[in-house]
Amino acid sequence: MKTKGRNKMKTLLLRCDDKEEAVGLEGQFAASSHAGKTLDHDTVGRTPDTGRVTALLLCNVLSPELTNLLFELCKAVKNQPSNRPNAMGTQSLARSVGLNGRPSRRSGVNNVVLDASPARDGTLGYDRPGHRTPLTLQHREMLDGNRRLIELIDGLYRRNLPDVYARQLAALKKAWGRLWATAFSTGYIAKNFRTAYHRDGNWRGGMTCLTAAGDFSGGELVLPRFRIAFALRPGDLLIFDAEQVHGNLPIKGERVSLALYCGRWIVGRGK
Amino acid sequence: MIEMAVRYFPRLTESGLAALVADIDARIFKCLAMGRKQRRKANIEAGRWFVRLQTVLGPGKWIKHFDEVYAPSDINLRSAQRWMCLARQIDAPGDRLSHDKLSYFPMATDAEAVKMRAATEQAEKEVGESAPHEPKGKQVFRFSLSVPVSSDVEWNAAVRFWKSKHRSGVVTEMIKVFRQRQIECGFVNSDEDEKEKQYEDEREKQNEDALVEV
Repeated sequence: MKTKGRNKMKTLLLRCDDKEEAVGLEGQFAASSHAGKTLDHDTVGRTPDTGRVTALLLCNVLSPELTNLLFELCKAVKNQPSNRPNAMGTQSLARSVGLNGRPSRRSGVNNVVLDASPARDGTLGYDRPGHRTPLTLQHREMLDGNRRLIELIDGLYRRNLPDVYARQLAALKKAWGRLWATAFSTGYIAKNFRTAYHRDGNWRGGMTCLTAAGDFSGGELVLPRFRIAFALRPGDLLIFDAEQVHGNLPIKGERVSLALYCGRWIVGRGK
Repeated sequence: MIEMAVRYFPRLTESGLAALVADIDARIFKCLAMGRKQRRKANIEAGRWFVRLQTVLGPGKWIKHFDEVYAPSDINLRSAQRWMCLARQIDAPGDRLSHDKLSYFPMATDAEAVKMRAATEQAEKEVGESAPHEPKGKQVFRFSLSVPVSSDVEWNAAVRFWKSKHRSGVVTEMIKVFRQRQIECGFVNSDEDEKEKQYEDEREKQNEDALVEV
């Protein structure tokens, strides 16, 4: 782990702003040419006009034991992301075509696309007020085993972005669905999931904390609007606004990532 | 300005060139009038026509034409130049400069992206070729009846019976008894079914008569 004050945080003013083009990219895969800069050191990205923090990368802040534990506990996720067509780089279609030649009434990611992808995912914590996700109930150890890591991430979030953290915590305190005493309601686990450009439907007033574990290379997170990419390594923490369009570059190796956020449906419908 | 252009393109007459420029102008305005959803495509297409305009009128000279024709419509010269760069980049990607920051996002060409796109195309084809859904029929509610069983022997017998081929006949009989009892107790009017049948028969007859008349 990094000692206090070893590296000075660099501030990056996100002058390049391709907002409209970025929105049009949803559902497409990220390419390395979409990012002019790849950041792999402590950086805070701010918009030049308002000074609002859009992304914050903290390198080597999580201990290897915790990230290894995250990988070991969460590599067992086996759910196929059938309800995330945008992130899978496809469009919402009938899930399958039956033996009678008729398409399934359920729509989402088609089975052909799911079979072509190595991506697996799972959701820990709460998906709606007072309701734990099936994965939480079936694999209790995935959540409880990562408690230290989640609380550490919560502390780093509180220390580095106190205003946003306070707002998120205040919103979540009123709701029923909080992971211990943190400002998160839900954790999304993605295994070998190279996401296409998408936006997450998290609570808009807060930020998402993302960390990765495993033996991998690549998988940089690209924010095409600002033409930047974050090279996230095991032990790094990225706090970013998931409302911005984002996607991953190809991943080599085994990677498990954990995104902690405050669910929109926990705090209030559609807020 | 047109005289200069005629010098560059000696086979074009003055009137021919004016017509060509007017045609390009019309095409650019058509691109600019395209909807918001096609904005990016329209910008690239407009950029192509601006490049053509620049070639026809000559570098530097086309700006005068731009000021005369496009500036009054609130079209910025810098925007036009950006669109031109964008069009040039797309038409010749190798010429891309390292310092440019234009809004151009080429499609990912790595193996996984290509594989996923192919899978999506296959899925779209499969779903598209499949037959449409059948319209939903009349909704049927299933009413569960609990049958008390007092011993294991009875329970086993009931399970065995329920798994056997005789089950369907019993279910039909039970439904009959259930309906009869409902009629006897006055919960259902027994004439309702007959009335519905009569009404349907009458309508069919009417339709047949109408067809005969035609």
